[in-house]
Amino acid sequence: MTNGFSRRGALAASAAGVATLSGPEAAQAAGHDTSEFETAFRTFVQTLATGDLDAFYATIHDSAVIFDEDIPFRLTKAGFKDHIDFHIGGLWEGFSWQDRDPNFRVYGNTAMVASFATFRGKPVDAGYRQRHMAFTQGWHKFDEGWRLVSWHQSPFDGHILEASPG
Amino acid sequence: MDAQTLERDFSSALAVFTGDGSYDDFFAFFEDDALLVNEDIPFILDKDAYKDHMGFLAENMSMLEWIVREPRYQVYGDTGIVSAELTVRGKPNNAGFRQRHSVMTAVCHWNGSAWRGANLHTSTLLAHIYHMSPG
Repeated sequence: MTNGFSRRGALAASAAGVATLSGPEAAQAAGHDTSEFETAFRTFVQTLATGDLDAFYATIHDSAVIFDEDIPFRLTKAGFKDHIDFHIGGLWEGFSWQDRDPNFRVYGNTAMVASFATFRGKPVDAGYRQRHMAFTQGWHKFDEGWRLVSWHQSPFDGHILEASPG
Repeated sequence: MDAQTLERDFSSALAVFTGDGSYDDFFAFFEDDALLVNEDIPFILDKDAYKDHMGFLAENMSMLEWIVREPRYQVYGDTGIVSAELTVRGKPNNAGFRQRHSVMTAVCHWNGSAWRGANLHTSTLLAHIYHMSPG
């Protein structure tokens, strides 16, 4: 520890930073109206929750870039769909993706959301599974409306394990 | 506003880790209300908290570098998306050396004269590998 600086202090500052953000209120205070984008995001989440995959995929731009929490490679939309197809091909008795405390930002026709999520469910022939993670998404407002152009999901364990060298 | 200008502005911002840039230029690239996810911290950070973490690393490491691999720059109107593989490496004080192999995305927007960062998300590959199968 030098100059009163400690990792615990850094983490406390980080947590405090999150606590003061609080999503739409902070974004509105900064002069960015996020309400239309929030609606687009929540509609997108609902398509996944209800299994409306046609609408879910239609919101994702064909050239979107995706880092999925289960795969250490950059995915195209086609690669992401292939991965989802693997999951829904009889591997699960049921699952859900739950976003928690999303924070929204809008700059002109660009929007992003940063949040936490839990992917949970029961695999066939196994107990149950929870994957807690951070995620960020980039969106662009096209003539037809908001569409997702990037999605990055990363489980917390990778942000904790081996975060310190000794 | 095109992929070339996005690459130019993003690369210039990261020059503090890849060349001879400055932390001031790196932080200036990001909007004051940007939201950031760092590979070492399991929380969403605002810009001040992210700067605080970078200050902690700068104090406790030498030879800190970012090796950006296979970067991809995609532009949709005023929206720019950067994705890449990333190795964060250096020598912690009083320890051997350290490499954190990661992936990275950045959401950027064109403000009329330059690209600005709304987000930077880095996550280690082990995050995407550990526990990805339930049994």
